[in-house]
Amino acid sequence: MNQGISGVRKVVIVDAHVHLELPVPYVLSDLSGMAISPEALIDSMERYGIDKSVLMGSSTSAQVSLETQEENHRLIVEASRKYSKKIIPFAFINPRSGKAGLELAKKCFSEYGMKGLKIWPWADFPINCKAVYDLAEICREYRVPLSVHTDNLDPRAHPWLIGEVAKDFPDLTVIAAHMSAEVSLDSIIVAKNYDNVILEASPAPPCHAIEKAVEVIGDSRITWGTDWPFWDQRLPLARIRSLRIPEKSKEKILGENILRILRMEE
Amino acid sequence: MKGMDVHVHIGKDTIYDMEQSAEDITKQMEMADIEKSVIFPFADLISIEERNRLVRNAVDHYPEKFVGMYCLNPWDRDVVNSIEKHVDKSRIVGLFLDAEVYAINFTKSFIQSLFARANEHEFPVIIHTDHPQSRAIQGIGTGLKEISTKYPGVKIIVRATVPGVMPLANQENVFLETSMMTNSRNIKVLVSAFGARKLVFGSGSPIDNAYTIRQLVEFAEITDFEKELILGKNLRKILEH
Repeated sequence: MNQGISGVRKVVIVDAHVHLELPVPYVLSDLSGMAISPEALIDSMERYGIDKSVLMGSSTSAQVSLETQEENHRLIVEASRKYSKKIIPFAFINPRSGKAGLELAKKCFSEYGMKGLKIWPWADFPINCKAVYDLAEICREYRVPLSVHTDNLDPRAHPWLIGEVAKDFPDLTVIAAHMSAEVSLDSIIVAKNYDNVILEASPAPPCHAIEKAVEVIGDSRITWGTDWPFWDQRLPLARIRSLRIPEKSKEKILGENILRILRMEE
Repeated sequence: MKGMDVHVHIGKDTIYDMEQSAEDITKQMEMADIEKSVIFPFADLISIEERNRLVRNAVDHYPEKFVGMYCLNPWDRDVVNSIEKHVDKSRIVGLFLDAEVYAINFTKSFIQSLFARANEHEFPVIIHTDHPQSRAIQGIGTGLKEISTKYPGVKIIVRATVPGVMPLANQENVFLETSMMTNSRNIKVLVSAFGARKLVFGSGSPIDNAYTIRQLVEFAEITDFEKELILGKNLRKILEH
């Protein structure tokens, strides 16, 4: 927790998007050479004053096999139990996993206490396909958000498709992870159209886009994250702090919003 | 250390709804400890003279803080001859070419004639693009390699994130700038690959702000000397023509 002067309200900083990978060589391609243990994450968080992080598995584990997905989730759960005040566990499931994937999702929410589900369309599925809808149904049942990687480079990950899911599941919270990266204005339009869409400014949508999002949809449906360990946690944090928006809006984006969305307000 | 920023727009972009005045820029420069910025307009098909005038006015008003680049539409008839009229080496010091807005194919002879004229005067040229997937900039690497070889007197500055341009840093007269970069690790990668002398600090303001992109460089695991080169010394040398 960021220490404030006695009697002054503390600002809670929550990184809404970090990854942990299996420590085995065949799924380390993207993270080779990086320090990726839970301890490395905690060390980074303490160094930069981050109180909590939403921790999820990795796209590579999700693409190798169901077994690697299960193993990756066990790793996340272990980390979240060891550092229960600092780590918020998220599921990361490949919709191509069929019924076993749906069962894993249920287990993640009911047994592991995970607070949301991340999916990654670059594993060759569009956001609005039936397999995603099946997972979305489970998220709705367990009242947890569905977080979807978005960008403008791959049409399967385009934020407009998030609008389809948001429209068809009006009582499901859908997080547009990365705010569709460098070109974020499409995400803002989708969030303007659907109140159940959250824009996650991670790790590096342009400052102008985040400021625009605050102007268009207000400051209550925007979160931030770093995509650690791919990104150093410092720069995304500095980016949010440098925005030309009210300080109260920064506080909401930096922590209050994601805790409210995950129903973890303290 | 005081920095220099090679990529700052002034005026209004009606398409993406961005606008900043000279005063907005100077405030940002103060926040990011930038002593001088290279400014140019948002390229467009209309009012280009007015947009360039805005640059000149800002430079006249803040000669210690700004130098300008002349934005030209390569499709204008008398564009080559307009260069000497607008570029003076002291306040408007080079050319600004938007490859996307004007769909520039760098292999075309009439585009090369612009570089030939810039080469005569040793004017630096900033190549501007936005979207990494734009069809308008496919093949930019090939075209710029040919141009930078043919016109060694032109120092070319281009975003490092534009696909296909990174290997161009091996050319003596091509420099990569930092705007739209998002990860400090990539600064280290570029320094390892090409040396810190080939990188210049550019914020891309107002799409990003100078403070954030300066942090990108400051956080990179490179030496302080390399940071000094990127944050200002390299650009100062480029502009001393």
